[in-house]
Amino acid sequence: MIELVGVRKVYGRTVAVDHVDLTIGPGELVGLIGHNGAGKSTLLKMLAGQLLPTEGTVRVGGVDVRANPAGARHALGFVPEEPALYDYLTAREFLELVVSLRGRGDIDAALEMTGLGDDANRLIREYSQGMRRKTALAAAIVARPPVVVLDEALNGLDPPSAARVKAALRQLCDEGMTVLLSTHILETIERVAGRVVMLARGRVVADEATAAIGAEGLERLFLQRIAETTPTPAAR
Amino acid sequence: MPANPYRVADDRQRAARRREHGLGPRIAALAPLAGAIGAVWLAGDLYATLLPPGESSWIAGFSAIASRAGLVVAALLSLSTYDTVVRGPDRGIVDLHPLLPAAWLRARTELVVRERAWWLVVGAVFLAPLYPRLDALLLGFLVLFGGWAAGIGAGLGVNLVAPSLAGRPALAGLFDAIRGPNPRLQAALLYAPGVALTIAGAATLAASWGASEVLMGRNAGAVGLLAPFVVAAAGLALASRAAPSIAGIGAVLGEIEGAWARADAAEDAHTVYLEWTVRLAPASLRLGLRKDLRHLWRAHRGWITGSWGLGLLAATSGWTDAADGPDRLARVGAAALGAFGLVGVRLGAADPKWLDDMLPLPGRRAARATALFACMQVVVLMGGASLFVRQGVLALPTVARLEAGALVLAVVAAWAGDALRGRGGLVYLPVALLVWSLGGAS
Repeated sequence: MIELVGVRKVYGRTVAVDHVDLTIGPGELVGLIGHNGAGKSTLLKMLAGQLLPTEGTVRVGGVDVRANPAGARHALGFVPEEPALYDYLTAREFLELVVSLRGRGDIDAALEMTGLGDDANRLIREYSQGMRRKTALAAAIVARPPVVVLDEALNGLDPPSAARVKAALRQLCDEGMTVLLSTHILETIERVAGRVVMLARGRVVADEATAAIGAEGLERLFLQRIAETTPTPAAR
Repeated sequence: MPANPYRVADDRQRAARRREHGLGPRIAALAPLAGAIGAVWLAGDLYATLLPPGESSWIAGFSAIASRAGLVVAALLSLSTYDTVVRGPDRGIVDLHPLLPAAWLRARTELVVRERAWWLVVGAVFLAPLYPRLDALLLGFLVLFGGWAAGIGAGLGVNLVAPSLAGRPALAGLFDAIRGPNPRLQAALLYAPGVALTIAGAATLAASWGASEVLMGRNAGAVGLLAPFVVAAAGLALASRAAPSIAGIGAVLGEIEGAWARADAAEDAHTVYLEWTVRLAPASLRLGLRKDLRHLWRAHRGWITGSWGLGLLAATSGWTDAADGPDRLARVGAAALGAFGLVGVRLGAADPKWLDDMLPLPGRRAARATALFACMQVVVLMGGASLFVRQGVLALPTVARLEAGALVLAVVAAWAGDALRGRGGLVYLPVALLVWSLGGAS
């Protein structure tokens, strides 16, 4: 599970994340949305241990990221916005490396879930952007960590690939995995997430079940909450 | 015992590169060796002055040659380990997945040893004047090898300890005092390569002293020869202890980059170093020149501030009434210009090729050469002004030589970085060595 308790991230006078409390349980697939600069990437980087919170506690799979960064990495599969891969390995070789580091994993299953099977023995440097994203996703899920976080990971995927990945994420949640998916594509959230969390100016401004929002309601809710949290010219 | 997964990945990548590129990169890798041979040939006169007849004078000359070769190799190694273990190209991958610290450190040490072994060969070429005397040659090579080993050991140890020291509250006051405009967390990383270089350099000098003692028949000096290897062993032991903290480096670097992003945004309105020169440039170069000056100032500021240090070095060198002052300034200045020109190669390597292909900037190589040439002026002018104060118009030919060297280096760095990207150094370094050799030729 993911637990954020009173998390705040400050750069000088800029507050990037402001007192966020959030709990995501096992088997939940939560969508994270927000305007550009809302604090999504900062929040995800804190989950991945790539930034430390100024205040508050971040726990991933029950492990405190600050106190035990090595343990937290075992509990988390992270797919960054820009996939970090070795260009001169094949996808299968890269997954073999990840399995060695994590001590377990099912490479064929990960390749199958992401639809990379036919291209698994080609060098990653020959891949399209979408295939690189699928490789990064396969690396994140190959050892079935208890938590997977995806930062804009569905961008650049063709519709069949995106459908396949969405199905894979749902399957992983059914197996008890906690998934946090950050994206600007609201339709994706509506289709796969059971819950949506909206950030604006570093704060959680909405945390709702997607079923309660209804068709086309997410966009309206999004725009409404953004308008509510944007200072008027007079207030500025 | 299971195979080291990092080493397996390194081996596989190396094999894939070899399959794809064939022998080309290997042949290109010989370019620095060819450059070193050429430089030694051209610097023959200089060597002759270093090794005069007479045993004690000859041994002093031996020490000068061996210590300089060892120091250069130690410096290259202690600096390059920072790139390998702290800001290496695989940092993004290491930060994402669970870490096997001991295996990672072993694999990275092997990588440094394998990829930097040829510097020993290049360094050995610079020992050429010692070849007629086998005992001196062997001792000289031991000093060189010691510098190489100490550079690796001290580099790994200090650079890996630095990130774990960066966030210690007890050291906050010290880091605040020395960090300048940089984020506090960056202070430890900024100074780590310098500390590693100091330690490796001191050990290399001790080895050079020891070698001279042995040549003079005082075998107790052999203890000095051991110094680099003690430093190497201690550095590796320190690195082993610090290896588990590697998991936290990503957070340290993330904090630094976050702080810089904020500082850069606030600084956008401020003047960029030398941006006024854009007005003086031909219209066709202005866009590229402005881009490169901004890029240098914002993304490679260490090189700019380093160039001021090189300028001070040149000024110090030129502050002399000695008859050989102009030649000495030419040698030091050419070395400083050659070192600074490397940033041009790095600029080219960092440029996105697709952007250059899709939106080609007219005259971008000429613009880059102009930007580099402008930045190099601090070395030429500070050195030249210093010598002019002491020796008057006698300084002018030296200034002209340095200007010519700066022009050649700027043009070659701009061309090599742009045309050869990551391999630009293979052309640039030999040219820089040649320019340095010519700078030293009277």
